[in-house]
Order: sequence, then structure tokens, then C-alpha cells
Amino acid sequence: MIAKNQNSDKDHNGKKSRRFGLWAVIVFVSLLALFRPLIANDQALIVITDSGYEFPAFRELPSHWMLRSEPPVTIPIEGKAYFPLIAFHPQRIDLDQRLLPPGAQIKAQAKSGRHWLGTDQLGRDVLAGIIHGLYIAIIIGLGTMLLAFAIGIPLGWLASWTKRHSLSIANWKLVPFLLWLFSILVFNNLVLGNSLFTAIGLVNSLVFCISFFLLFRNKSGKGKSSSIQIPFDRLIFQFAAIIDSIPGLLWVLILGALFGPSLSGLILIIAWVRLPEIIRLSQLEADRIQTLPWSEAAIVAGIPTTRIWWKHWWPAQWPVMQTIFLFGVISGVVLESTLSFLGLGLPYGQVSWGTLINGARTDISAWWLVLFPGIMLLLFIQGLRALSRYLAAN
Amino acid sequence: MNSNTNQNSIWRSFVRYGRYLAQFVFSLFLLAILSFFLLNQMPGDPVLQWSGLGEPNQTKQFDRRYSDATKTLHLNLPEFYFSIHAKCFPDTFYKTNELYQQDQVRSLLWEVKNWPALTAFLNAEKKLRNGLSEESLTQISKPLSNIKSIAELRKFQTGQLREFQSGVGAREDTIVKTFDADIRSILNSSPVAGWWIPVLCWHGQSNQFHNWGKELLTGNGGVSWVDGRAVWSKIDNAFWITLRLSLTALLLSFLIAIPIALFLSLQKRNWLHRLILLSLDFVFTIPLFWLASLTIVFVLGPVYFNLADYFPSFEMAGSASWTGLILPWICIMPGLIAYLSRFLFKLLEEEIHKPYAQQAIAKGLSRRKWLSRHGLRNAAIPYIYTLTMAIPAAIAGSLVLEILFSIPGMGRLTFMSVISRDWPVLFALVMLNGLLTLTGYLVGNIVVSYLDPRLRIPESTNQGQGL
Repeated sequence: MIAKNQNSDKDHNGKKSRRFGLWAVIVFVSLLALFRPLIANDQALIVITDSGYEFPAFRELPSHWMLRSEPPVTIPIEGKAYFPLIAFHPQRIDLDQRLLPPGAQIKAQAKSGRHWLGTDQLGRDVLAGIIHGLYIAIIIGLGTMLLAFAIGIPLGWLASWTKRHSLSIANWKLVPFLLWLFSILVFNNLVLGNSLFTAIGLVNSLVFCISFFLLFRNKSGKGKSSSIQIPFDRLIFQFAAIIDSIPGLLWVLILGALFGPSLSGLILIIAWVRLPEIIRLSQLEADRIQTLPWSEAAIVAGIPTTRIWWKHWWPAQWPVMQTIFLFGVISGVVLESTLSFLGLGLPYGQVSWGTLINGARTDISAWWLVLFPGIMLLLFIQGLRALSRYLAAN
Repeated sequence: MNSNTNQNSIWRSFVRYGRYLAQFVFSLFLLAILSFFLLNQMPGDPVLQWSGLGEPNQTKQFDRRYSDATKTLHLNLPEFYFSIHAKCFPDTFYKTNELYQQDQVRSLLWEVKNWPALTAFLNAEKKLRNGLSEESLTQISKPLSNIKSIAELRKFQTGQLREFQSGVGAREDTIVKTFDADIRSILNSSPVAGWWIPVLCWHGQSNQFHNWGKELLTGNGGVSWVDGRAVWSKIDNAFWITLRLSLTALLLSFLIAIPIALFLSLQKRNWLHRLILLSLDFVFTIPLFWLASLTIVFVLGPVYFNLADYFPSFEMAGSASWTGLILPWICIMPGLIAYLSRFLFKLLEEEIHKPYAQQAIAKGLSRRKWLSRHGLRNAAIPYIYTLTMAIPAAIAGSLVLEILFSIPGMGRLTFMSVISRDWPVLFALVMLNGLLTLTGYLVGNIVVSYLDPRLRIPESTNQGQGL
């Protein structure tokens, strides 16, 4: 009995330490990505002058978080300066130091430093670029999956629900839906270049929305006059099938050419490509949950539909969805780096792992441009997979 | 089902697969509409790009050649079978002006809301252009064609036009004066009554979408904007090269993956088993573009192995030879093998934990025999489905390899058409890819529902039987 207790205690401790280690790694990586200007920068951390102290590197933090692709203008330093660990800016182009191999020392400058992992075809430091790429990878991965989840999961629920039941939502709750439709139509007018918010666009949209609402309103049964009958499941499946019928990479190429290169555009496009998968998985999970006794009991008890979705389905499907989330982050990052590698993803001037590897296409003897960012990408992927395995085991 | 007569069951299966077919056709139609919509939204003026005329310069010769090119490309037709527009727009708006002017006319019309008045103004502008001499036209032509709103027109009238008027002779002065009056009349015009009413207009078969679809189905798919070649003939060569690259890789991977999965399934669960599984998992996660770059840098690059002589590029080896495809295969196959073998292994594991399998093994059936008689057969259903899905995915996935190893296949053609803004080729490729994917779904669904009756679409759904 005692031995058993000790054993379980040990297990518990082991789990605890593993969890601690996991969180430590996550926090370390996020800090590294968030505070890149304090770790890899050609601005000094502290400058001690006669008049006092200055902190130029800290001033760059906001522009790093906003992902501006232009590096700041360097001001000549007067006084004693302490530089960050890696004394290079990831986006600073220096054509005198193109394609230097790893470990190359610069002598011609006042501040000495080594390019530990070499430089790329524009003379940018690879190590600094890799750390900067970490931030971009996190932004892209989280951004795409949060967006895809926010749209895909409710659509999956809706499809699953309408497969078995008619949708019964109070009229006032349709208002957001109509507003959404309305905004799409306004946006449509905007994109098609008809006009910006002219009366005609607004009137047309309103007419469309109201007629849509009136057409599909279910009038049978006085008690449920507010329930609507739209075959949402078929509409949603058709929508997913259409997105799916064009391969993801092709979608990204088309929409990228349509909207031009930008980071936010890339996030939108990758989320769009991920959408059918999320819809399908969410719908499958909801199908499974719907047939469970407690879910049916909740429906019979008359709990409002949306409340069942949020308070009961979402917690029940979270364990599966978190794995899907992590895998989606991985594939989003891989897609982004593939595109950047092809020179189609990020706008010019942004540094990510893909753009660094792209440098080796100009000179195939520059092995360091392929090896190190790729290893970082692989580590990122494997780390997320390990995290998903850990979460699944608990 | 058993009590049905034979004839009845044939009819039923016809209905069942007919539904899949109907779904296929409907999806294809939707895809075509989507592609056409995107094609029309792509940046760049199609006529200018195709004809290479240069920027519009307001000369008569340019306008004639422009409208000829528009007719050749069928762009003087309505976009779709029908259109919905506000009442203040004419039904034939699509052919009233040249394409490059249409945005300007449209934005003016949105403000004036009076088509007859705007037509009168446009005619007056044309009269002005015809009346003035070349020399004086150059002063006023550019600002005139840049007017996009009423405010700009007013500014033009009070500013540039006055300035211009003060410097011309008596004959041109009268022309400018009448034009000035025309501007005043359009500025004073009032919107048509009920201009905001949406109007549905039926255009019939002669529209751009119909022509585009017909061209894709029966013709040569239109012409490339870059070199003027027929789209299908451009794609034809590329398609077979890609098929050779990806289909062979896929089949080879299947041939290797199935024995690995069987080995894993029969193997004792020891360290070797775990090692193989872990390494398969690892190999699967390696990004393809990175593996290919590594191969190029380390195998072909001059620093390390420098084996470029042994692995010539596709074009150097000659398009009939297979040696140019060896390195791409080496890059694409590990991931495919890892995925396919892990998937089959997982399916077999799921199958063997089912009660029937456990009972059979408990009664003395050997694992090997169970595998060959039951396990593989049952796992084959989802596996075949994967195969039909994998073919289009593999064709699309060869994009990176084709670009890196410069193989003139579909992937590289896609990439080049994006780079050079050759939209007809790009969207023909999109349609081809979509067709392949949807055919994959269709074949997969039919095969699977033939093999396993439980997976058929239920014939009556409980649609709308609410709470």
C-alpha cells in the first residue's frame, strides 16, 4: 500500500516536472519571439552618454510587434554602448557582406561581431533572421487557426445540427446573421467597384436580406413561429466541397495574385484553405456528441440551441480540437514557408524561414541558408507535435 | 433489401450512383462559376495584355484595334446568363463603352443616376475630341479621361477648361463653348425616377461565361495571353510529364508502404517497432521544399558531393528519359511512404481491436492468417478512398519539385502563369485540377459504397423533422 502510494507520488512528481518543462519551453520561445529586438539587433541596448542613459533597442519593440519590414535608421553612437547578444538586425541589408559562411567575423566595423550562422544573399544575418522568423511563424500559425476555428467550428455545428433538427433560434438572434449577410453585400458592392456605401448598394442589400428571411421563414406551428428551415447542412457541405476542389497551394497562388503580397492577406488566405477541414472535423465531432445521452437530454430539456453548442458541445469536443489546432498551426507554417520559399508569400523585406531558404536558390553552394532555418522549422514542427502528443496523453 | 426483385435493385443502384453523378456535375458547375468569377476579378486589362497595344492614347487607331481585340476575345458580351443591376443602368451597359473606360463611366453613372444625360455628355466629349486639332487635344485629353466623379468634373470645368479656352482660336472656341454647356446640363440633370430599383436582365446564351465553358469543353481552352498559344495544347505536354512524375511516385510509394505496414502489424511491440514508427512520424513531418533544397545543395551543389553529372536535369536528360526524375522521386517518396504506411498500420490496428477479430484470434486464428483473410480486406475500403484522393493531391503537390528541378510539368506551368499574369492558362489549370479532385471524390464514393453498403447515402433523410 505504502509502496503503491510512493509510486503514484513519484508519477505525480514526474508529470509535474514534465508539465513545468513544457511550460518553460513555451514561455522561453514566446519571450524569444516577442522580445527579438533585445536579443538580435544592431541598436544598442544601453547607451551611456555624458548626459545620461538611452535605450534605443527598446524603442524598436512596437515596430517589431507590428511587423514593419523597414529596419530603423541607425544613429551614430556617442559614448559607451552595450549591444545585444546578436549584434545584427534581421532586416538590415548590407551588400558588402553577402553570403558569408557561418562564423565569419566582421572587422571593418566599430562593433565587432560574428555572423554565427552566416549571412544571406542580401547580407542579412541568418541567426537574427531565424529568431525573427519564429515570431512570424507564431503569428501566422496562431492567426490562421484562430480565424479558421472562429468561422469553421460554428459552421460545423450548424451543419451537424441541421442534419437532425430544424434550427430554432429566436428572431432577434437572426439579427447578427442578417447583419453579416448585409455586410457581405455591402462589401461586394465595394469590391465590385460599384460605389462606396451608396444608397443603391444599401437598398439592394436590405431587399435581398429581407426577402431571404421571408422566403425561408417557417410559418407552420404557432409555438415555433421563429424557427427557420434552411438546409444549412447541404449548403455548408457544398461550400466545403467547392473550396476543397481547388488544391490549397493553387488557392493561395490565385488569391495571392488577386490581393497582392501582405502578411494579413496571407493569414486570411491560409485560413480560407484550412476552412473545409475544420468544418468537416467539427461537424464529425458534433455528430458524435449529438448522439450521446446527455446531449439528447439537454435538447429534450429545452435548453436553447446556441447554449447547448457553447456550453456543452464545445467543452466536449475541445480535446479533439486542440490536436487539430496544433496540427493546423504546423501546416499553416509549412505552407507559409513554402510560399515564401517560392518568393510568393511575404512582402519584400520581411524575413521568415522560407525567405532565408529561398536565398540558397541564388547560390547553391550556400548550404547554411538551407540547413539552419530548415532545422529551426523542423524543430518547431516537432515541438508542436510533441505538445499535441502530451496534451492527448493527459 | 433482400426481398427486392433483381430489376428493382438495379434501378435502386442506378438511382444511388446517379445521385453521386448529379452531385459531381453540380459541384463542377459551381466550381466553373467560381473560377470564372475569380478570372474576371484578376488584375490587369485582358485586352491590353493579350494584344500588346500599350497604354490607351485616345487615338482613333488605338480605339479601333482595341475594339477588334475585344471582339476576338468575346469580351464585348455580357458576363453571365443574367445580371442584376440598378434601374439607372442600361441593360447593354457591357458594350456601350470600351473596357478600359467602363470603370470611369460606371462611377460617373453612380453619381448622375441618369443614363440619357450621361450618354449625351459622352457624345459631347466624343464630338469635342473629333472637333479639336491634334495639337490642342493633347493639352486637354489626359485630364478629361481622368475624371471619375462629378466633383472632379466641376473642378475641370472651372479650372482646366477655362484655361484651355483662353488659349484657342475662334473655331475651336465655339466647340469648347458647346462642350461647356453640355457639362452644365449634366451637372444640372436630376436622377431618373426609381433609379434604385434592382432590375433582373436576361442575356441568353451569348455571354462570356458560356463561351469560356464551351471553349474549355469542346475547343482549345482559349489562348494564352503571353505567347498566344492554345491553352489546352500548352497544358497537354505538361500534364503527361506531371502524371509521369507523381503517379509513378505514388504507385512506388504504395508498393513500399504496404509491406512496411504489414511488417509493423505483425511485428512484436518492441524497441524496433517503436523506432520504425517514430522515424516514420519524423520523416512525414519534413517539409518537401526543404528536403528538395537540401538535396540540391548537398547532392548537386559543388561544395559536397557534386553529383550533378549523375543526376542531369529533366531537360538535359531529354524528356523521354527517366533519369531526370530520380532526384524528385527521392525527395517526394519518403513523405508519401511514411504517410501511407502509418495510415494503413493505424487502420489495421483499429480493425484488430474489434470484437470479431479478437474472437477469431482467441479461437486460434493466427495473426498472419487473420490479416490476409479479414484485416486487409476491411482496411482496404478507407485505404482505396485515400488513393483516389491522393492522385490529385500528388499532382498539385509536385509544384515545388517541378519548380526546383525545372521539370516543365503542370506545377511549373501554374507557377509561371501566376508570375506572368497569364490568367486563362491558370484558370484552365484550376478547372483541370478541380475536375480531377471531383472525379476522385466520385470514383472514391462509388467504389466505397459498392464495397461497403453501410456507407451509402441514406435514401431518405429525416430532413426538417424538427424537434
